[in-house]
Amino acid sequence: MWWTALRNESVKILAKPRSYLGFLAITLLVGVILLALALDGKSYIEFVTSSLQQSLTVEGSMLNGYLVGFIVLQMLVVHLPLLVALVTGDLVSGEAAMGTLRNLLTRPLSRKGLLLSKYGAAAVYTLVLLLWLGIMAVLVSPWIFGVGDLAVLSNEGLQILPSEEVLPRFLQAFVVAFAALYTVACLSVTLSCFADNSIGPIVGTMATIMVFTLIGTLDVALFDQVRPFLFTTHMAAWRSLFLDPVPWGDILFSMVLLGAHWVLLIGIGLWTFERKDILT
Amino acid sequence: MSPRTLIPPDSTVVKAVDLVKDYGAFRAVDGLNFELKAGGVMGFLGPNGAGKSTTLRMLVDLIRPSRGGLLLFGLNYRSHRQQILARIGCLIEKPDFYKYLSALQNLELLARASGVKEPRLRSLELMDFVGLNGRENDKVSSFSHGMRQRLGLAQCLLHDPDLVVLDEPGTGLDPQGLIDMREMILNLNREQGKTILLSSHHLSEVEAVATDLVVVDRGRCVVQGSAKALLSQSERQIRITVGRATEALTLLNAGPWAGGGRLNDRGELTMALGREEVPAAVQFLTQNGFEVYAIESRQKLEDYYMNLLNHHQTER
Amino acid sequence: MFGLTRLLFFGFVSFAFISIGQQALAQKSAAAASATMDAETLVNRLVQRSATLRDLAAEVQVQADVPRVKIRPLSATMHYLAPDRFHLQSPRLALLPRQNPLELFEFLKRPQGYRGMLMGEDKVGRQSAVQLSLLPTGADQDWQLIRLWVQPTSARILQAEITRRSTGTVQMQYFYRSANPPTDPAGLDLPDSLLFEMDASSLKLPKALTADLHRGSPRDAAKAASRPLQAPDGKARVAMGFRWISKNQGAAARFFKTQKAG
Repeated sequence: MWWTALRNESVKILAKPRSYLGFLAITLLVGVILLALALDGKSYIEFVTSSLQQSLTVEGSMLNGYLVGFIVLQMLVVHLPLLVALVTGDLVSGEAAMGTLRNLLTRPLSRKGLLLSKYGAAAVYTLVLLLWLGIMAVLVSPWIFGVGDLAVLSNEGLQILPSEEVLPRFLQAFVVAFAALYTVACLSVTLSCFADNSIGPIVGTMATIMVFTLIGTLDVALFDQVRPFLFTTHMAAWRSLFLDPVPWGDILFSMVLLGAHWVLLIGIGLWTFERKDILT
Repeated sequence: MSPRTLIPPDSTVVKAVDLVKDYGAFRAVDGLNFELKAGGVMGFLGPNGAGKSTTLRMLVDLIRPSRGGLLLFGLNYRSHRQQILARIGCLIEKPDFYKYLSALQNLELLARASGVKEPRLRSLELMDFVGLNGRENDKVSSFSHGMRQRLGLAQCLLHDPDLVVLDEPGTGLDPQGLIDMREMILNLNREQGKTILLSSHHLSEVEAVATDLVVVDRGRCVVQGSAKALLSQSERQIRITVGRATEALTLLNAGPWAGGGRLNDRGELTMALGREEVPAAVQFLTQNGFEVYAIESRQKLEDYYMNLLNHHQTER
Repeated sequence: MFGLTRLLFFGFVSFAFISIGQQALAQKSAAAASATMDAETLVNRLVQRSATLRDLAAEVQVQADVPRVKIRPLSATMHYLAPDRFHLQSPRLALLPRQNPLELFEFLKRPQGYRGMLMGEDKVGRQSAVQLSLLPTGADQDWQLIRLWVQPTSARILQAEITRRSTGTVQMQYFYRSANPPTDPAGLDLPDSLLFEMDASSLKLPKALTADLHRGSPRDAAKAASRPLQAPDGKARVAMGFRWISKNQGAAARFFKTQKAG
C-alpha cells in the first residue's frame, strides 16, 4: 500500500504547476550563469590567478565545463533549499488547506503510511531536481565549454584536480548534496504537519536555514558547541569531495549527522500526524 | 482489503458511549450516546454548533475523542483502524478535490488509496451512477457545485463501503439535484443494503429517506429512535389557513388553547391538537369572525424538530 | 764525499723547488687560464652553443610546488620554435614559470644586447663554476640582470638567476645526465631537467570563486590557514624533466604550422 500511496503522491506532484517552478528556475539561473561565463569568464578566472601570474603561468584552459559546472553547483546549492521547500512544504498543509487531506485520511491507509509516502515523494522530487541541476552543470556546461582539469578554490588554497577524476567526484558530491537537500525537504514536510496552510512551512523552513546559517558563521564561543551539529554546517559538505586528499572522515560524519536529522524530523512528523485532529 | 464480513440485519454498526470532545476549554461534544443499526438510514439532526460535524469526524477518525467509547462494526479505531475505514465511506462537509486533476484522475487516485483492484473501472462505474458520465476528463475546477457534490458521493462509494456517512450532501443543490440525491441515497440503502448516516439541514429530504433519527443539541443526544415512532408520538400538528393569523393566535392564547398555537415561518397558524379537538377549534375561530380557508393535518419532521429543540432549550 | 752530499742535497732541494714551482705554475696556469678565459670568451662560447637553437620538441614531466596550490605532476609534450614560440601540449592544466625554459638561450644569442662580467669563482653543488653577470644594454627594459654559473672548461650552464621586471627574480638550476657537453662547440647543450625557484611570499589567492555561506566560521578558516604549508619557506618551485625528442629537426615547426592551419 505504501508504494500505491507513493505513486499517488508522485502523480499529484507531477500534476501541480508549482512543481515545475524549480526546474524552470534552475534552467534560467544556469542559463544566466553560462551566458555570463561565456561572455566574461576569462576575466573571472584572471581574478583568481592574478596573484599567481606575477611569476607563474597556467598553461591550459581553467575555464572549462567542469569549472563552470562547479560554479553552478556552488551558486545554486544556496538557492535549491527554497525550490525544494516550495513543493515539499505544501505536501501536508497544502492538502489540509485544500480539504483533500480528509479524503485521504478516511481511506483504509494508515496515517503513518500516508505520511511516509509523502516523505518518499519529497525524496523523489529532491532527487529529480538535483538531477536536473546535475544535467545542467555537468553535462550542458562541458558541452558548451569543453572539459579539462578542475581548479577549485578553498580555505586550503587552489586545488587542481585531473579531469579524469572530476566526474566521479561530481557524482559523489551529488550524493552528499542530496543528503543535505533531503534534510531541508524533511524539515519542510515535518513543519507542514503542524500547519493548515503552505506559506507557514515554507517560510519556517527558510527561516530555520537562515538562523542556523547565521549561527554557523558567527564566531562566538557559545555557538562552537552547537555548530557541528547543525545541518546547515554540513550543507556544503559536498565541496570536500573536491579536496585532495578527500577528507572521508569529515564527509562520513556529515552524512551520519544528516541521516540523524532525517530520522529525527521524520519521527517528529509521524508522532504529530498520528495525533493531529483534521479540522479542515 | 480484508474479506468483507456480512453484517447481520439489525446488528449495531455504530455505537457511541459517553462520547466527549474538548477543544481546550470548549466542549464540543458532551457525553453523546447513540446507536446505529445496520440497514437503516439515520437522520443526524441538530442546530448549528450542536456538535454534529465533530461527531461525524470522530466517526471517521479525522478527530480523536477526548473521552468515551466509539465502536464501529464492533471494533475500535485504536486497534482496527484500517479494517473499519475499509467499510466506511464518507462525505464530510463540502467535497474537495485536486483541482489540477480531472474528475476521473481524482477518483482513480482515491480508489488506489482505498485498495480498489481496478480503480479506473470502478471510477467510471461510479461516475455513471452519480450522473457524471461524459465529464470524466474535465478538470474538477470546471465543475459546478452540484457536480462536485455528485463527485463527492462517488468518491465515498469507491471501495463499496457498508456504512456511508453523509454530511450535508444536499448543500447547494437545485431542486432536481436534491431529488436525484434522494434517489441515490434510497438506492444505496434499499437496493445495495448500505447503512446510511445522514446529516442535513434539509429536513424534508431527511424525512423522505430516514428510518431513524438522532437529534443532538449542545453536544448531547436529545432524542433517538425510529422516525415513524418519534413522529407518531408527537402531537398532531394542524395547519389552519386563516385570515389575520396573528390576531387569531392572540385570541387563541387568550382563550382555551393558550400556548397551543404558534405561527410558522410562513406566518401560518399551526396548533398542536388531538383529533377530537379540531372541530371545536375551527368553530371557535369562525364564531369569532375569522375566515378559515383550509385545514391540514400534519406530522412534519420540521415541526417536530422545531418543537423538540424549543422544548429542550427551554428546559435547559 | 762532501761534495757529492752537497750535490745531492742541492739536487734534492732543486727538484723540490722545481716540483713545487711546476705545481704552482700549473695552478697559476689554470687560474691564468680562467683569468684569461675572460668574460667575452665565455660569452662567445655560450653564444656559439645557443646560436644553433631553432626548433625543439621534448616530452616533459612537470612538477610544481607552490604555496597554497596543490597540483599533481603531469606529463606533456613541449614544442619550442625560436625565437619565442613555446607550447606545452597536454590535456591537463600545468603551472609553469612565466619565463619559458629556453628564453635564456634566445637572450644569449644576441651578445650585442648585453655586457658580460666575470664575478669570480663559485661552486654549484660540488662542481666548480665561474660566476658570469650579464647586464642588458639594449632598449629592452624588461631584462634587468642575468647571473650565470658556468663550468669554465665546458661553458656548461649550471645555474642561472634571471631578474626581469615582468617576472621578478627566478633562479634556475640545470641538471645534465651526461658529464660532458657535446664536443662540437656549436652543439646544443640542453639540460635534462630544470628547477625553477621563485619567491611566492606575496602570493594571495581568494578564498572562493563565489560566496559560500556554509563554509564554517572564520575560526575554521584560520585553522586551515595555520596548517603547515607545502613549501614553507615561501618559495614556489617548478621542476621540469625533459626527454628531448627532436632537436632542430623541424618537429616544432611542423607542430606550429598545423596549429596555425587548424
